[in-house]
Amino acid sequence: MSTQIATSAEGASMDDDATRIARAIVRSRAIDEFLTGLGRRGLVSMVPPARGIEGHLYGALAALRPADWTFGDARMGAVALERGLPSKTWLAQILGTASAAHAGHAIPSEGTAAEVRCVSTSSLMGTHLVQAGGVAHAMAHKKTDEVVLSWFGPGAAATGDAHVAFNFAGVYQTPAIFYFCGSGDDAADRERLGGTSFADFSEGYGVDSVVVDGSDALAVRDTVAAAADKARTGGGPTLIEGRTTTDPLASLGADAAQVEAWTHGLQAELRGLTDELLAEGPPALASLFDHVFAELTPRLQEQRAQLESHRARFASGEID
Amino acid sequence: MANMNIIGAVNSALDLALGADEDVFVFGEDVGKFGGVFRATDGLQDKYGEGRVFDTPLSEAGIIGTAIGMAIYGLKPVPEIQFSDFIFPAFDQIVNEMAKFRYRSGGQYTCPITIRTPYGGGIRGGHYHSQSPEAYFAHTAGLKVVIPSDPYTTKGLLLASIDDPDPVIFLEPKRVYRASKGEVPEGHYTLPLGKCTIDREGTDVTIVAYGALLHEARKAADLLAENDVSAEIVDVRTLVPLDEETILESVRKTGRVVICHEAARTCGFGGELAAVISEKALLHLEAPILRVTGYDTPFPYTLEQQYLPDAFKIFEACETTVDF
Repeated sequence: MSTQIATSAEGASMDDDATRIARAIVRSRAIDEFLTGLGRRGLVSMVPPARGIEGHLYGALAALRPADWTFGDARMGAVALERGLPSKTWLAQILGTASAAHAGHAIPSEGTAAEVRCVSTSSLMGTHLVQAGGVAHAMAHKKTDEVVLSWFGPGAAATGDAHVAFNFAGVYQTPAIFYFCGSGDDAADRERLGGTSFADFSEGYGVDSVVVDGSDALAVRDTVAAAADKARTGGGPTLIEGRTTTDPLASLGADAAQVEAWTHGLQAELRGLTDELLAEGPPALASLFDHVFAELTPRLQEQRAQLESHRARFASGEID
Repeated sequence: MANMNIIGAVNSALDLALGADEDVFVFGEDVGKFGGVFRATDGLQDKYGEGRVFDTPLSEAGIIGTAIGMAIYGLKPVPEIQFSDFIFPAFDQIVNEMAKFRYRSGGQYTCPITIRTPYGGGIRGGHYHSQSPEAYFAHTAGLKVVIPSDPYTTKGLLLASIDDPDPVIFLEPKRVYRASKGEVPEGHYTLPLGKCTIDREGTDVTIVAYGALLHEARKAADLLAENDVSAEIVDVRTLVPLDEETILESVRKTGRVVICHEAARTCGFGGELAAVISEKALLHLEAPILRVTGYDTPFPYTLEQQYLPDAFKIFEACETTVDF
């Protein structure tokens, strides 16, 4: 087991990945800004921004295949767009309108995109790391060459579930990649974690580790690619410590005019979709009871009927 | 048919499920090589291999979190929590994750997981090997809660739980793991989730029970019969989904109800049953609904037989309601 410091290949030039990653980062920032605006209008709540960690997200995605699975936290919902989820499908969940795949059952930061293998996001810290190990366990048993990558931050890293996840991954040597996204405040991260490096954790678990600087998204890509190649060929899990230093966009060569053009286009698209989706209205009342179980139980049928009857009587907002 | 105890019925059900579906997995603490501390998984690792029946590190959150990951990938895990008292480190994964995956994803990710766990007192296990946690899980939307009472119901309900598309907390009454024996079909069969049964017909009082207390209810009914009181026994079997109608039908017939469970009284499942009966059969009641339950203390060691409901406590409650 070892910890290495990774960098991108010396002299790496702007390439297709760099353009794609840059565009994804710009989209992520446009979304941060757009969601802040929706928040001011009272249309969404509780969506923390991804600002600062985009190099970790989109550098890593550049190394993954469509069949690979990802788990993220509340900041990372826009990852599904980069993996191919249509914008409208994504935004419907953010707004919780009638066509939302989850019928408005979850808050905006808890989106789901099974079609692009982004697992439904939990607001809880660290629980997803253990589940990702379970997905990896299943992949290994089925002898696929898929991997599962989970991003997490200093909060999740401090939970018991993080310990459990790393221990299980070490015991079973599953194709799991655990990607720690530093907060950008190294001193604060150290205060939460005690050690000199988060990657130091890995030694005791029997898990390889690598440290990478998230400001170099191509180095992130290369680091995740190496971890994924190892995992696909039975080499087991990797813990990546992604440090958050300078703006990852700066190293990707995108010029200011291009960034502005992308931003403008994305925001225009999102504004148009927002108007379309808001026109749908909320999900049907009865959908409140959908997806508790595969089938409605008698009790849920009864409660649904009670709610519908009650709402019908008080539809006018006045007592007859 | 074969004569077996509840341990044998669990083993038989798991054997059949593993044999019929390669996506079924059994895992937990000491379930593989050792065959389980109660021997319920004995021989299964030898038969199905270390990939399908495996030991885990001692972490309930790890066991259930792993099961969730395997389930959303498309497998059907049947994890064991060695004692239900140990389930609480996994409470977050069960209540906040497993129970909500279907709902929060609009059915895109589901958790067809059956968590088997021995529960209940009477084995001199003290408060960490004796508790009855069913109400915590019955209170959580998205979980089914199943409690068999004998080998026949254990096998049929366990196979139905494994077949079910939703997560099931399968609580096994360990006090009667070996004491309860009976004829059980050797092949595959299921008993429906969401159906109570009338275990014994009667006309004067309805005793509602589940798990090990069903056996105490039967003894109480015998004592009552000797005193010219005809008791009807309802075996709940599935707390969630609850078959209200079978319970209500019995109450409408007898007009008197005694509800039994080992768990502490306050906010126990008996309170829910009493509420349902009072909401839907109030005018059929001839007497107040009574509960025979554990007390609102931690589960005791030396005096556990005093703590536990038994046939005499059930008898006394029935007598009280009949004489009301």
